[in-house]
Amino acid sequence: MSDSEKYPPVWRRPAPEDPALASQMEHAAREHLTLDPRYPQEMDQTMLRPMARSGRMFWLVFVILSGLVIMLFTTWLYQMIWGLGITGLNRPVMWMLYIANFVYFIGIGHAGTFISAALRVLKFEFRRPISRAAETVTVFALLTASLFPLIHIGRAWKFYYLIPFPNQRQLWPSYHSPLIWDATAIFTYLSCSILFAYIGMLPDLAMARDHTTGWRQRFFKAVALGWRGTTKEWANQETALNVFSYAIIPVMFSVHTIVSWDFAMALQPGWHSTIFGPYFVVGALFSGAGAVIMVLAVIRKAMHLEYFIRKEHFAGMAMFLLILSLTWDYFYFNDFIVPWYGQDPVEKTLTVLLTSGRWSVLFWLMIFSNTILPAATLWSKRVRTSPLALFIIGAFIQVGMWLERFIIIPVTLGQNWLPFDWGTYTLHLPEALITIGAFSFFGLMYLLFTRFFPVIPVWEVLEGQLLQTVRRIGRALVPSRTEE
Amino acid sequence: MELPNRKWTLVVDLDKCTGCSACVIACHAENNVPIHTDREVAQGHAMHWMHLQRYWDGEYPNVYARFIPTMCQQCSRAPCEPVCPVYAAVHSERESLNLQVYNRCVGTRYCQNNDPYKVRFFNFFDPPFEPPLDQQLNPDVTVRSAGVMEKCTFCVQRIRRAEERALVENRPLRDGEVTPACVQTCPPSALIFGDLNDPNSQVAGLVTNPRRFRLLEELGTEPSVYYLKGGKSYVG
Amino acid sequence: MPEYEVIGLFHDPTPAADVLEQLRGLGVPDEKTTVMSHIPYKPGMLGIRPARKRLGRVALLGAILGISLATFLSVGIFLLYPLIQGGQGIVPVPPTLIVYFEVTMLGTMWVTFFGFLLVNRLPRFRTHLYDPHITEGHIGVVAQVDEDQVGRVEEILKTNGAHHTNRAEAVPATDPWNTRFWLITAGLVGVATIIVVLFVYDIVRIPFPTNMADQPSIAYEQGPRLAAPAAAIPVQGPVLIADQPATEPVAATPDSLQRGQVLFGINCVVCHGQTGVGNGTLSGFFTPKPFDLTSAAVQNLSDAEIFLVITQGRGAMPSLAENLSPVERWDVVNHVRSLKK
Repeated sequence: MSDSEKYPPVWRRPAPEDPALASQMEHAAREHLTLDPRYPQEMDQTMLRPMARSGRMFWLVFVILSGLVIMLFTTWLYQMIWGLGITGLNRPVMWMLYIANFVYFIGIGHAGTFISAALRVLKFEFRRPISRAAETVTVFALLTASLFPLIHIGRAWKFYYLIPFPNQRQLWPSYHSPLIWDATAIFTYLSCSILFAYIGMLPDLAMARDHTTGWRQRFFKAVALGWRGTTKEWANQETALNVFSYAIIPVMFSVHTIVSWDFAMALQPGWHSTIFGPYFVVGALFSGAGAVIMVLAVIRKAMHLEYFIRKEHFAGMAMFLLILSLTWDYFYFNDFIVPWYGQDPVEKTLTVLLTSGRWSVLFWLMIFSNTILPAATLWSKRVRTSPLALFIIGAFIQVGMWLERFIIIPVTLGQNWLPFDWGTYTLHLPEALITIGAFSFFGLMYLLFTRFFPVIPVWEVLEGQLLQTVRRIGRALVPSRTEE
Repeated sequence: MELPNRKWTLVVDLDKCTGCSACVIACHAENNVPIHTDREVAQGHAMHWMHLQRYWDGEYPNVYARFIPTMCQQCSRAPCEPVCPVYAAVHSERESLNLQVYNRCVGTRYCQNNDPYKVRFFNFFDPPFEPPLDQQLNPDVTVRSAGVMEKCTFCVQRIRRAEERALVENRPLRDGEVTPACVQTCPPSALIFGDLNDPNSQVAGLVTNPRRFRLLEELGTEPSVYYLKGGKSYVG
Repeated sequence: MPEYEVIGLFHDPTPAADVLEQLRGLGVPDEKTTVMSHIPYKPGMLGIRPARKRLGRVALLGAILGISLATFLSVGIFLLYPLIQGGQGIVPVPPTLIVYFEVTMLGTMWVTFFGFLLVNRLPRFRTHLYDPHITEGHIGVVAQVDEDQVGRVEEILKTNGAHHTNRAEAVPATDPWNTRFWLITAGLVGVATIIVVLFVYDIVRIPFPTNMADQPSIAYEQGPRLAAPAAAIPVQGPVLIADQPATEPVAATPDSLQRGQVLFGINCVVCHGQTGVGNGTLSGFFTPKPFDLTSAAVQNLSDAEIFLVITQGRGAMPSLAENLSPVERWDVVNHVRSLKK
């Protein structure tokens, strides 16, 4: 008998003799990860095995994504040499796809913190296996987003003007500007998300250190920092995670609010609306949840993590997605009806342009993807528990939310106060290539992360399995959870 | 020695303006503003610090153009200033001018987004000044490189020169001594420039004119450019 | 007497808690026993008193550091740069509040992270007794005791059902706070900062000309300039030059001639020579040589044209407009006239 068979997890309850209760228990174990404890060594291997081997599919995807990332950087270099005139920028449309991508990637970076921090604070059990995958989406989405302020500025080689540091010329950036609040907030959010993820990852890195050999073991030995799992280390980790959770949630709200203030602070009609703050935060959570669902569906399939990521997790995320879709509808309707009702001439032109003008196809596609599709499908429990259906709905939501940013930026900028200055935006090749490259950049970083770091927090799953059990009430076996 | 406070003001008499665009050309010549090809203009990259906004009106055969010369309004509460992350758009309190620091500009283009008059221009490319056109460039004005925002400065280089000369010659600045290029060129003298703090200046007399209005006054930007309504072609 | 570490693995917290109680009975203090696991068992489950939480105060320290940094970044920079922008005051309140919030959170979280590492004595270099099975869900109990008590401890562990016991000589704790590691890290950060400061304060200059210092326009003191075209019309009388009021010639009075001579000596002799024949100290460096001002070619020009040459420059001769006011230029013109042989 192997060690793992001799020593099962002690909190695994024996099967009851009564066949009805036994079948209820089996059903509960199938549905709920936290009621289905396996031998920890088996769980460790489920996580470590896909990290050790890389199949043909991995290498194919790696080569394609790397090629697209190289395309990103070469196009950017070409743009830096020739000037921004090669893009579709013009007067008055001075911001276009780059800022739309920037806002989009910051947006999808919000769901990660929500799942790992807010759901932790609220003690939602379904966050346990998915929190690290979501946090990683946050970190890499923010890293991809930080490329864009450099890509879109006219003199990228002078980017250090934007960083506050003492220098010989005594030059400092201006904290009057929402762009600098942006830089501060994103730096705070990105660095603290990385630290938060790292603190939570230490026990799993220790597990990887103990079960790998060769260069992998040396690598994990370095990053695990000698974590042993003493009671003191656990207690301090819990305090640290609590501090981070409580602190990073308001930061998360503030980051996308500040990004929305890039627009709300401008006098541009269509932008100068006080609802932008909460509207953008909800939109960010919405697109982020969709992105996380897509990523979960992919890694579950590609890394054979069906034990960890089950229908209940998709159902939880999908319910979250539905609530956010309805909330987004509420905010967008607010943002739409107020200028429509007021009949301000410029805002009215914008409304007409969106609903029936040149861009109406994109507008209605956005409404379909964000409002109609989630509302029509996510009511059904079958849809909510199907990873494939949710992947498709998530993809539509990404398209819809990206289009929302596109409509807010180049389309709205074309209509301003003086009609002589109106203009339109046409897509040019450089920004299209850079956009594709940015998505590939995100994908490539995530792909490499899944190779080198355990993407499921096994210790959190084990903790959940310790604290959850089934209790008999009458004829039923009821899942019970410990709050402590 | 301290220079006195000025409130530089430009008055545009729309009754006299014929729409000849001489001011546009003068501004290009004085301020080293690049000329662009027709393809670039069609794409929206044209740069005219001083331009005539033109709207067609009426039905054939009574079609006519309404036009209004537009340049940086040098707002006292300029919305383009606080959004610049690097202090490239700052306000000169002493002269009541909106300054653009070319060397500091990184090209985020936020100022243009926040500008309701859209009078700021971005150098999308390095401006082409093929020889012998570079001989015509004004050495008093920086030639901007790609990635830098620029706009009308009320010919601040001319204002500086006149003030320095007056300072050296130990006399006050005379009304009419400072003329931006557009003001100097305008054939019907529809553009009048001066210091509003000087009660005897021509502009001080004109801003009390009942015909006067300012563009988009309701936004609260407090522009320093006053327009005098007039004629059939006025846009206001 | 050397100290030994003894480890025993259990798969349940109950025997682990019993072992801890019996070790306490043996006289082994709680500080010398360590419980390791891959699941965060609460101290109560193991029968030990929860440790004092110090990280809360560390977070508070971080918040205070964050507030200080925020004060500099917002209020400090606003006061360093008292520039008016858009009618807002020197220190606008809402942006200041935003910066305070973000940077305070930044400080709190960063300091909490480093505090977490310090309080846990991470990274841990000193090799302790450890068993990889712990990350497979087993609970490891380690006791650090004198050599003569090792046998008793092992007995306790076995009685309570431990599997995989082990013993090893305890490595003495020479650097509990990892000072060497933190000093090396601080040193590396310091070196990086110094390198950055060298560049930022221009002690090491990168010759990367992007500050629009090289202008395509031709500065006043530069040459060569294009000569006027052959069919250009010479101007008589009041000279009309753009950007300057029309200037009347100044009569050739003795005062004007004397002023002209002095100014000629300062501005012109260096190329044209004392007598104006073109043999000044710098004349050797020019091709063609500076003009002979006594020659018929120059003296046949009108006064206004000589004035134009001084004002605009011609060929390799730079413009003297910056050096001489219009009146002074007319004085020089008068002097040049007097140079006629």
